[in-house]
Amino acid sequence: MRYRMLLVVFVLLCTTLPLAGCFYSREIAHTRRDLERHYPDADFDQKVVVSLGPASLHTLGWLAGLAPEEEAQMAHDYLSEIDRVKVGVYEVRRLPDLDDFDPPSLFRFERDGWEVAVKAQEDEEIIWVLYREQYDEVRDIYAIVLNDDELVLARVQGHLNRLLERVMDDHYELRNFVADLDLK
Amino acid sequence: MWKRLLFCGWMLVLVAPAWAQDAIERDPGYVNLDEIEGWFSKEPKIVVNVKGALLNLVAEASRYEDPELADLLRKLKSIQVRGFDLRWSDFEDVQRRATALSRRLESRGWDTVVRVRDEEEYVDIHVRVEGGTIAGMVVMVVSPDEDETVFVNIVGQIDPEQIGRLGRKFDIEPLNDMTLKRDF
Repeated sequence: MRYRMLLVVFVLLCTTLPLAGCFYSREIAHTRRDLERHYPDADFDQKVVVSLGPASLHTLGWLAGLAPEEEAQMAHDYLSEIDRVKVGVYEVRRLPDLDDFDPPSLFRFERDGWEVAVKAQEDEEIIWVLYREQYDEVRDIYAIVLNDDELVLARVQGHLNRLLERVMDDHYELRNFVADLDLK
Repeated sequence: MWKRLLFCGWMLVLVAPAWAQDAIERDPGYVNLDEIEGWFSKEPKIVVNVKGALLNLVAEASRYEDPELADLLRKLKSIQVRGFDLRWSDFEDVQRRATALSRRLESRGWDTVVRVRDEEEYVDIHVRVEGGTIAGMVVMVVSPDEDETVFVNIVGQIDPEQIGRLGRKFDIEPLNDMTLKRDF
């Protein structure tokens, strides 16, 4: 019994120590501060900021890999293609004029070589999707969504082309499998 | 000798990304839409810049839901879209600038395949044919109606009959119902 307790503590330490400090993203917080500095009319209040780094993602992938279910194995495979996920959700206290809101012009994005993939502006919402590629693969996607209520900043790093290929292949296999079941 | 080889290799690594970036801009079907942004007093409401690995990603995402669209996207090299709100007071000025751009494209070997002029709408579609196949297309729709002023440049082997499909995929309203026959 004592050994089992020790084992549980050891496993918890092994899994949580590498994750310490992983969950808060300084980069997302910096981007929010840059936006407030660049647009003095803007004021955002933090709701949630989450960052999952390689250690946490690999641990999650490893845990998923232990489960016998096919979906868990898929999750394990998908997580192996993702290096980092960062998300920040902020409440909007004060909003700048959306016509002037242009995050890609921030020094941070220009310096780091982000390219605009999509900008879409509706009456009360603006969406920016930026990306970076390396060796003919999309390795980084940054999405910025701003409306009257919320500012959402989200960044996903990884082998995103490979990830999508895997998802599509599995989706296709699963669909065929279900279609076979229906026929039988 | 080895030092020289190493130096050449290193230079290639440094120069290759810049060269790849320029490659699309040197393509005969490419037109830089950034200059159009200067015609309007406000920033574009819609911006799409999809090329390279990102275009592969979009094609991959369509692989099972719409295989024909995926095939169409795989033959393309780049898609650029700029969408603006246009005031009636600016309609004439933008028409004049669009006409000047059309003339410039024609002088560079682009063919005009559609031309519509009426009181409320200005439409020009140009294609660039290289070696018997379409290598590029420019669509200009200028109208003071909401979401109706759109400039599109598609680089790559385009099937003109599928242009509406691209419009629906990228939510470009003026292209949604557009169908062009191949025999121009």
